[in-house]
Amino acid sequence: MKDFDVCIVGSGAGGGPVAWTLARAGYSVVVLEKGPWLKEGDFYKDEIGVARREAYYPNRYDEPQVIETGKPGDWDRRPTRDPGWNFWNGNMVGGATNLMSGFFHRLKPVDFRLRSEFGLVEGAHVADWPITYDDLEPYYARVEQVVGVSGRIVEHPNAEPRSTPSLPFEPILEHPLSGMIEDAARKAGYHPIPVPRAILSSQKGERHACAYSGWCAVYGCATGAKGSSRAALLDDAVATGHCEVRPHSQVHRLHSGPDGKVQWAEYTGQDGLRHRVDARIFVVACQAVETSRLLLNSPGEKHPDGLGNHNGRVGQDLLFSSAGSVFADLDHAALDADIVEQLRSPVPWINRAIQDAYVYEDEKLGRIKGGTIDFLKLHPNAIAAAQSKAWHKGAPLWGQALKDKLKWYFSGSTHLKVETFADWMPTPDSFVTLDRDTRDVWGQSVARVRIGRHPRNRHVTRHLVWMGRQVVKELGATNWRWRAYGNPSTNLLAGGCRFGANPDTSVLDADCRSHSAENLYVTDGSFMPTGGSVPYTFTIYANSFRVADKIVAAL
Amino acid sequence: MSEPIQRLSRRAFLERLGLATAAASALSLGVLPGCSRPLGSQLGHKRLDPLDRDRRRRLTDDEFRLCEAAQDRLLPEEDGTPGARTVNAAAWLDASLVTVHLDTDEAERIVAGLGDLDRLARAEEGKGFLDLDLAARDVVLHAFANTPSGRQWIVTVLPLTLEAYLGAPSWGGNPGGVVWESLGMRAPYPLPPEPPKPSPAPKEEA
Repeated sequence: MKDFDVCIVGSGAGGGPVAWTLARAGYSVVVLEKGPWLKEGDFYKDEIGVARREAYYPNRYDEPQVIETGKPGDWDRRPTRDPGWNFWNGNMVGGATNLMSGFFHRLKPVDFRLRSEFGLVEGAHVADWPITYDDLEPYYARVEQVVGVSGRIVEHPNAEPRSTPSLPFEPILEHPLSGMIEDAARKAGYHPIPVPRAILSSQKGERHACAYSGWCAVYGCATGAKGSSRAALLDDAVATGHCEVRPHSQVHRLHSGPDGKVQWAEYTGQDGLRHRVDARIFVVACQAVETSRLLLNSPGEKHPDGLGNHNGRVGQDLLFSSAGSVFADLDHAALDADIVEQLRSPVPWINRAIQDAYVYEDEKLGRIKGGTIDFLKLHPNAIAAAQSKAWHKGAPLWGQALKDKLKWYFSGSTHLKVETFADWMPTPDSFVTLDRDTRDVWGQSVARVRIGRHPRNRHVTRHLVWMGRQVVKELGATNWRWRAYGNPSTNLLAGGCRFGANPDTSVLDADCRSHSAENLYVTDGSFMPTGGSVPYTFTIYANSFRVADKIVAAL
Repeated sequence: MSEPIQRLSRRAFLERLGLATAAASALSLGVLPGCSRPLGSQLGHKRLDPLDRDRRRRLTDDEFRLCEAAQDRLLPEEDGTPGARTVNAAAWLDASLVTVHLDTDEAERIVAGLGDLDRLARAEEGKGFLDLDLAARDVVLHAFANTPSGRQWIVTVLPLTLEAYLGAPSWGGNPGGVVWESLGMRAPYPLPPEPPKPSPAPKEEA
């Protein structure tokens, strides 16, 4: 008799839907989450604690990662004990979904068949998905209903098909800039669309509607409006009586038996002691980097190179997202008083996007996959903003000059950001492996992430950023700065355990079950062979619901 | 009395603070185990009197006054709006020096930089920094910024000063959100609660 029917490692976008579905179906579920169980009452908009002291991330001395950047033959390896960056996101029950912005764009049919549609990209491992958009579509609809997605659906040239004509929740309130940006986008020749948000506009069960604090991305939601895996799914799963969530439970290794099946999870619990839990089915959803790391740290008799790593592909074809930005200001002194009055609206949301170049005709490359352009207000982090203003012509700025500049920044101007999303091409140099020279505080080898950059990433990003600038210019914003980043942002991770029909080239089958460990599933973004050019969380949620149905069928 | 400056490994540094591993991890997170209130509240709730010897600190009294005076020029108050003094920026910096947020080398460079600033004042103006009027202090600070180490000092100290300036009041700076109000910025909501009234300080280990 096993302790549980299902043991889920990780409680974020990959873990929550499985726990919810299985618990509601009457199966016994345990969720092992390495972080604490923070709730609405714990989520303060505290920039120092949250954004500058990393209260929501693991301690980088106890749990470093190792990052390699550079190019073939010249990789620079740095442990993240050095201040800099790392790929930890949201160390708490519900994971990074507590801290997301919740821009819920769906993937489109073309994203499921990039290889068939556009052919090979030299130097990249582009592959079709083993499922189609139609297979996932009902689950996008389920997420919209169960997690709670608000907004409006409009027709536009690249709109994906839907089984439901509208979203279950009315749009959240919008800033007057939404209309202004729509006008500017149309003048620039584009089709602006409203962005669906995983943010409630009205009460849903115990969750309250958005309070419009504006401190959303990076911060936890104090009202429950944000569709975190915790507030939207795990609370309900626990309420069934069939699901137990164990916070402060760091899983070190999954132990497998002579038949190759996973038998038990070894973890350190809240009491600081080692524990084991066994189950019929194991689901791993620790976010892409840490999922591959856990599997690689879990060798067994039938898995000498790591759990499920029968073909050496675990950790390979890691995906990030290719990001670009445009920053621009609207100087109040240059605008009419009635416009300024509108700009001073406390509503934080713009919620507009452009997907005209989701697929586009490139001058050099012909017809290629493009991406998404989102328009938003700049994040309210005040210390970070002030720090960025404390410069003048490359030298530090202080004194009255800095104070005057800050006064202008906070009350004399409004600040826009454009964010672009393009596919991150999977390459042989984009992977996660184990760094056996670096151990975490429990003695486990840490993840070493090599960031291999394909020129296509930035090529597409530059095009999207150019489009964003056209809109910003039409709007009349000034002081615009733009970047097409070479390095990825750290919050959008996928790949490492790609799914596919062929066990020789994939880690998981089309149901996200391991080809070589029959009771192991992976439901975070690791399954994606290609990422698409939208934030990943919506797709991870949808696929996790899809896989949950498969697990119910298998039990 | 400040601790003598030593080259310490990070682990040794934590051990000298007398903290167990779990608490040290929490210290660097800024959150104590079992407590969701930021650690800074624990530090900040003490009356930030520079002569309060019971509070764990890094700077000597003289260094503290020098730090206050320098930060006052980074964010001055002559325009009648809050600046570094209003927000106890020197106490915040001093507290930051004894947490593991800053690299040991970084902390030492900040302290050493205070001495460099004072020596520059004596060399350029014939008096210590604290004996100069505000205009002369500004001149010296600009000269300091034109040296590589001085520029680096400002680049390190300014963000820490801005934390006290624009951070949540529960950390000990920006009292009552007065800076936000002066800048026309809406206070974030919800904020961490203000910490309880000061309790008697624990004795420092010998």
